[in-house]
Order: sequence, then structure tokens, then C-alpha cells
Amino acid sequence: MPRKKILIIDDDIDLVEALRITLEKTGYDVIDAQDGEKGFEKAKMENPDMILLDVMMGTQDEGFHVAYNIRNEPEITDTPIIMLTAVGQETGFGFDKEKDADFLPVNEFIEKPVDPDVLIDKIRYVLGQ
Amino acid sequence: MNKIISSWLSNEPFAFLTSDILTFRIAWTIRLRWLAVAGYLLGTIIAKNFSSIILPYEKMWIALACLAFINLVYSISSRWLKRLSFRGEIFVLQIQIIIDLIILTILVHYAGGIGNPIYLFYVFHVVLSSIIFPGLIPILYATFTIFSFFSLIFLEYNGYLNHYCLFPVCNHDSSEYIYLVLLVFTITVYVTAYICMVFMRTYRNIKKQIDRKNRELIESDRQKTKFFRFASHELKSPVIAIKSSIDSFIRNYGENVDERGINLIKRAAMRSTQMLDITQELLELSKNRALIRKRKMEKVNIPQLLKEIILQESINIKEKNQKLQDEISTKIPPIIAEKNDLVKIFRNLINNTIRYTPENGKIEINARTHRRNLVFMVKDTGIGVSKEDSENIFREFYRSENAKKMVNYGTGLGLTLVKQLIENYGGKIEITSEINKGTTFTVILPLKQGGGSID
Repeated sequence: MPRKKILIIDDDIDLVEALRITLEKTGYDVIDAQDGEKGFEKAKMENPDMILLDVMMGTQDEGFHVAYNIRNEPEITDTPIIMLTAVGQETGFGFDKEKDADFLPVNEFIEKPVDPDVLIDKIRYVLGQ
Repeated sequence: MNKIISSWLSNEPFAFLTSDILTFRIAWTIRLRWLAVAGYLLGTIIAKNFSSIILPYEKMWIALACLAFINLVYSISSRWLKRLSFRGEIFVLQIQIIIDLIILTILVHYAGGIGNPIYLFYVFHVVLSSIIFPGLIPILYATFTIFSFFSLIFLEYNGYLNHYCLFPVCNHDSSEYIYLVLLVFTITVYVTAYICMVFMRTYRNIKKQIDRKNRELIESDRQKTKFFRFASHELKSPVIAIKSSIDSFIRNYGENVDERGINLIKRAAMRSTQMLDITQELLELSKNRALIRKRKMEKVNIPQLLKEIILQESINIKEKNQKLQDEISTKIPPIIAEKNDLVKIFRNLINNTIRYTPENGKIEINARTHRRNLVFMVKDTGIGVSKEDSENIFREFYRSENAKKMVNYGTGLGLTLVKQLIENYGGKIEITSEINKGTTFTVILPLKQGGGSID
């Protein structure tokens, strides 16, 4: 089975490194981008199997815009997205994971700091492994 | 509060004199006037029936009746006066004091003019006007007082007005006596006005300083909250990165490290979690304090909410083998609030109590309505806090000595947040405690949200 490719979009390079090690050791290929725009471009170019997306980078809800853009791009519209949120974060959306997940263009939420085991479980679930 | 401050600001020369205070003074002078009418009436009745003094009592009573009538008018119109502007009220008070002076002059005239020391009552008016009016206005009143008295004496002396003699020997036609009385009277009036003015000036200056200090305090508290918000916000990302790095290290390289090493790094992970909790609570606290958070208000069923929280906390209660006794009135009407806020308030307090009550201890929870308030009480047989600690227990980062001894871990922000949330809903929280006997937290939340600090 070919290694699955995961794109991490987060502006904190140390956090990306911590996640990258866990993911690579588990058997995934990791690529990353530091902001929403680059992330979107990379998603189109590299066509990853899954995207880990930080909700708040430059602005409070940059992550959401990136997610919508991805959903509106035919080639990558079905790529699963896991949204990273910080505990008790103000997203500017006032979203409720359980209630709003239906119309949000993401598959899962994970709260930062991310427990590596939880992350792997969710990724496997999203990728149907 | 801000309203008062801004009215002080906009009326700098009238510092301390807000229209609220003036309204109060108008009411106060009306009460004083009733007292004056009653006192004067009693005096004349006693004089008429128990002394040989012959005076035009009927005329005095007519004058008194006039004063009583005028006061009645003041009293009725004072309700309407409340709608007057600040300057309007000052004007009304000025007119009232002038009328008072004229009526007093008439009464002094009927009571024997210069022959009756009742003219000393003029001093009351001087004192009153010096207290009420700022700047040099009191000097004007003092002068007008002296002018009124002088005119009366002059008119009586020259025979334009009848002089009523109190006693067989009359001094009103002795020019030397008149000069002496007028001299002493003038000095008394001006010195009284001067002393009152100086005192009031000092008083107003102090008041101004207090107001300024108060504004500074409010501002510095605002700055502190702002600082908390930014500091905790900025700290969050690094702490998240630290925690994630440590977790990743333990998972991916943990097997290459010996037990002591892994123990050490696990402690670091725990401490970074603690730090994250603190920044999180600080952020929440400062947001609630600055009221910048939008709240999703809904009708919250209090008995149901409390039952749910108690059910969730019962695991901790069982773990410590504590006895719980709860008495929650089912008649408590719903409260309009953000449910999450109420959950935080009650869960924090109940959880706190469980944590600081020793094993086998007893916890009582009580909720009922009292005078349109929800009264929630949580009482324990715990470690208790000292008087000094209970005064500080709601302050940021404060943890009582006993609490530190008993539970190692705590942010010192839980109760601060609870208090802030309660205050945001116009309620209050109190603590009563005795060392080694137990602690009671009492929360009072208004059932109807009427104004206050809500939104």
C-alpha cells in the first residue's frame, strides 16, 4: 500500500515539526505550508490524501476560508480535512462542533495541544484505514 | 458610575455638586423649613400664653402660614423639579433662599426687630447658602442677608415701619446700640460665610482628588485586564507548541530514554498542561471582565442544571467517600443566561468544595428562591480558610495556605472567574468559613435581569 500523503497547514513551525515526526513515524508522508494561501496552492499541486488545517493563522477564521476554497476546487473538493482548533478558541464564528459540523466543510475537529494517539486515531478514521 | 463622573467633568467649577446631590438638598431644605415653621409656631404659642410679651402674633402666624404654604408648593413641585437641569436646580434653590430670607425678615420684624435675638437665625441661611453654592455666590448671599437686616432696622428706626417692643425698655431708637448690633452682625455673617466657604472648598478639592484617583483606578484595572488578555493570548501558542513537542517526543522517542528521563519529561508535559490551563482561565476571565464576549442567552432550568452537575460530580464524591446532602427547590423559575456560564459557576463551586473537603467529609448543597433571587449555597466540613484568606480568595492567582497544603495543583483563577461571571449577571458571592470546621459559599443571582452590568 502506498504511503498516504498529509498536508499540514499551520503557521507554527514548531508545532508542525512535532506533528510531522509523529505522522512520519506512523507511516505517512508529510508536506506543510505556513499560511492559507500557500496551503491552498500546495493542496492543488500535490493533491494530498488528507489536510490538517489550523483554524486561526493570520486572522481568526483564515482556516475556514481555506476549507471553503478547497471545497470549491473541483480537483481537491473531496480531500478530507481535519481542523485544528485551540482550546476554547474564539473563532469569530461561534461554531459548535456537534451542531455545525453538517455545514462546515471539514470532516473532524481536534483541539490543540493535540494528543498524538488521538490524532492518529482520527486520521485513520478519516482515511478509512 | 460613569454618568456621575462625566457630570463632574462637565461641571468642573461645580465639582461635587451633581444634580442628584442638589435634588437631595432641595428635599433637605424643605424638611428644614417644616422644622422652622413648627419651631417658630411653638415659640410664639409659648410666648403668647406663658409670657407677658405682647407682639402681633396673628400677623406672625399669617407669615408662618405663608411660609408653610410656599413650602408645600416646593414639596409638591420638587417631583417635577427632578426633571430640571443642573443649572435650573441651582436657580430654583437661589430663589428659595431669597424668599426664605424675606420671610425671616418679616418674622424678625413682627418678633421685635433688633430687640429680639431671633435675628441670629439669619446665620442659618448664611451657612446653608455657603454649603450649597460654589464660588463667591455665598458672599452675595451674606451681603443680601446683611442688607435685609439693615433695611429692616433702618425702616423701624426712622419710623417707616412700626417697631414692636418686646420689653418695656426699648433700644431700637438708640443709634449707638444699633451700630453695635449691626457691626457685630456684619462681622458674624461674613466670617461665618468665609469659614463655610473655605471648608467647602477644601471638601470639594478632596472630593475632586478622590474622583480622579477613582478614575485612575478604574482605568488601571481596565489596563490590567487588557494585559491579562494579551499576555495569555500570546502565551497560548508557545505553550501549545511546547506541549505538542513533548508529547511527540514521548511517543516517538520515549523508548530510547530510561525511566527517570521519561518521568522527567512527563512532569514537563504535566506542567505545560498546567500552564495552558492558567492561560486559558486567564483569557476567559479577562474576556468576561471586559464583557467583550457575546453571550448566547437562553432560559435555563436551574434545578435540572444543578442535578446534572451533581450527577457528573458524584464520581468524585464517591471516590473520596464523601456524603452529599442536597436540597434543591423545584420551584426555582428559569434564569435567562448563557447556560455555559451557569455551568461554570456551579460546577466550579461544587468541584472546588469536593476537592477541599477531606475524605469522609460532608457536603451540603442548597438552592432556593428568596425575594426574586436564586440563593445557592454549598457548605462543607472541609479545611476552612482563615479570615485573611477569605478576604483575598476571589483575587487572581490567590490560593489560601490551607488549599495549597491540601491540593498541589490549582490555577488560583477558578473562584475569580466564578465571581466575575456572577457579577456579570448582577449577582454576588459570599464566603463564610472557619478553620478546620468548614466553608460556605453563598451565591445570590437575580432571577429577573434588570439592567445592572448585563451586556
